[in-house]
Amino acid sequence: MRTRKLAGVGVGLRWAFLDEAAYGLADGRVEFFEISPENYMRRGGYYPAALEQVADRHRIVTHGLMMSLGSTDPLNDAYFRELRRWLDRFDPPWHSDHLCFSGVDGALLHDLLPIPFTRSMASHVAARIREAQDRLQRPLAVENVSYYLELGHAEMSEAQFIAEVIERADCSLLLDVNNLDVNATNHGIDVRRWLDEIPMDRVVEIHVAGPEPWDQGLLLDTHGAPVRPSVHALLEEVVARTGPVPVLLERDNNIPPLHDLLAEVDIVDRTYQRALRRWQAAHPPTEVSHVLP
Amino acid sequence: MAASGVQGEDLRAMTAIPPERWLVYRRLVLNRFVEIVETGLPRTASKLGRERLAGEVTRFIDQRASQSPYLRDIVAEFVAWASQAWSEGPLPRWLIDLARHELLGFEVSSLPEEPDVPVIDDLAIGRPVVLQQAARLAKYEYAVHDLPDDVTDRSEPACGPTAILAYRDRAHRVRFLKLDPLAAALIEELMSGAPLGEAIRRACEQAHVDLNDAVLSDVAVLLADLADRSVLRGAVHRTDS
Repeated sequence: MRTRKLAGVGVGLRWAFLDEAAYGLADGRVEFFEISPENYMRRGGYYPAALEQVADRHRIVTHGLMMSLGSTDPLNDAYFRELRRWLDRFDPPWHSDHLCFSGVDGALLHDLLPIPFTRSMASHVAARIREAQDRLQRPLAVENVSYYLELGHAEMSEAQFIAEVIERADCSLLLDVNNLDVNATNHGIDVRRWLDEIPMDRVVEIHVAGPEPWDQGLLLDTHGAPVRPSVHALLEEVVARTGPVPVLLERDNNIPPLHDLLAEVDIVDRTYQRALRRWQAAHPPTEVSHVLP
Repeated sequence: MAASGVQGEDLRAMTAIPPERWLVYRRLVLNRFVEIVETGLPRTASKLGRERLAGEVTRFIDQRASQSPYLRDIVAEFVAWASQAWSEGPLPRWLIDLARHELLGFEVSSLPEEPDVPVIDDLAIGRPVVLQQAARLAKYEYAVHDLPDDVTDRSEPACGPTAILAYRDRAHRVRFLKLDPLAAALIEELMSGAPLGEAIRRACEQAHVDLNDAVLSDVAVLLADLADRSVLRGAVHRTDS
C-alpha cells in the first residue's frame, strides 16, 4: 500500500508516449502520471495493458472528463458503476472532474461547458458532488474550467462560486492555474483577488498547461503549448500558499517528444521548488519539547 | 433563447454575449467530433474530404449528438447515423460499407475482454464453443476490405457480398479474415451460441452445401486455424456432470 503523500510534478499520460512510459523512459523524471479514466474504462486491448505497465512503475492520479456535474440530467448509473470499479483497481488518493456540464437531455457534446455562477447552481452542483463521492466511495476534487462566456446573469464571481460549491459539498479543489490565467486574460479577472477568495486548504492538486491564441485576442485552453511565464508566476504564488501538493503538466495538442516534455517538467519543477522554499520560510518546523516524566 | 425559457436578467446577459464567443464552443465541439471520426475512420474521412466531413459531422451533432460518455463511442454513433443519413444521397453506396469496416477495426481494437469468461473445455460436438470476446463478424455489399490502407487512394471497391471476421491477435493487433459463405455462416451460428454440431448443420443449409466428409474436413481445418489465431478458445464448460 502506498502511503507516501503525493507531491511534486507529474504529467498527463497520453497515447503519444504511452509506450515510452510503459518501458520506463520516464522513470525518476516524474512523480506521477495522471490519466483520464474514460480513455481506459470499458476497454480491452493494448492501451489498458500498457497502462498496467505504467502503473507498475508510477503512481497514478485520475482526472475525469464526463461527470457533467453541472447538468440537470441524472448522474449516469452505468458510468458511475464502471468508474468506481475502475478507480478501485488503481486506488488513486482522490478522483477529480470539472465544474462544468457536458450535455443535457441525454445529448453529450464532449466539451467542458460553463455553468452559471448562481446560488441555485452552486447548491445543485454541490449536491451532485456529494452524490458522486457517495457513489465512488472516494474523495472528489473539482477543477475550475476555462470559459469563454458567462452563462446567464452571474450572482457572484467565479471564485466565490467555486468557494461556495466546495464548502457546501465538502470536497477538494483541483486548482488549474492555466485556466485561471486564460480566464484572467479573456475576462479581465484580478488573479490575486481571485486567489484570495479561494480556500487554499481545499487545494489538493494543481494543473499547469499552455493555451493558444484564437481570434480577437482570445486565448484558447488547448493544452497545446508550453506553460506561459504568467502561469509559472501563478503556480509559484499558489504553491507558496498551499505548500507541497502535486502539480500536473497537461499537454494534449502539439505533443512534443517525451524527452522535450520531461525537460518542461524540469522547468515546472524549478518553479515548484522555489515556491516550496517560500512556503517553508513562512512555515518553519515547530520545535518539539520533550518533557521527562 | 426566450423560446427555450431563458428570461429576465439571464436573457439580457446571454443576448449581450458577442456571437463570436458562442461560436468558439460550436467550433470546439465540432473539431473534437471531427477529430475522433478522422481517428476512427481515416479512409472514409479522406474520401469525404475535410469540408464535407465537417458538414456531415455538423448534421450529426445537430440531429443527434453523442449519447455516450466515452469519446471513442462517437465513431460508432456517427456510423449508425450515417447508415441512415447516407442511404439516399449523392455519396457512393460503398462509402458506408467502408465506414463500417473501419469502425469494425476501431472497435475490435478496444473491445473489453469480459471478466466472466466461461471455463473452457475441449471442443465437443454437442456444446457451444467459446470465441474470443473481441471477435466480430461483419457483412458488406462491397469488398471494402480490399481497398488500400493509403488514405489518399481513390480507387473504388468491387461490388459483391463480403464477410469479414475481425479479431485481436496475441499482441493486441486487429486482424481481418475474409470468409467464404460456409465459414461465415458457421461462425455466425457459433457466435449465436449454437452447439458445434448444430452450427455445422445449419451453416451447411444456409450455404447450400452438402454435409459430407470433405466439408467436415474443411470445417476441422477452419476450427484449427481459428484456434491458432486465438479466436477459438474451446467449448463451454459442461456443468451437468
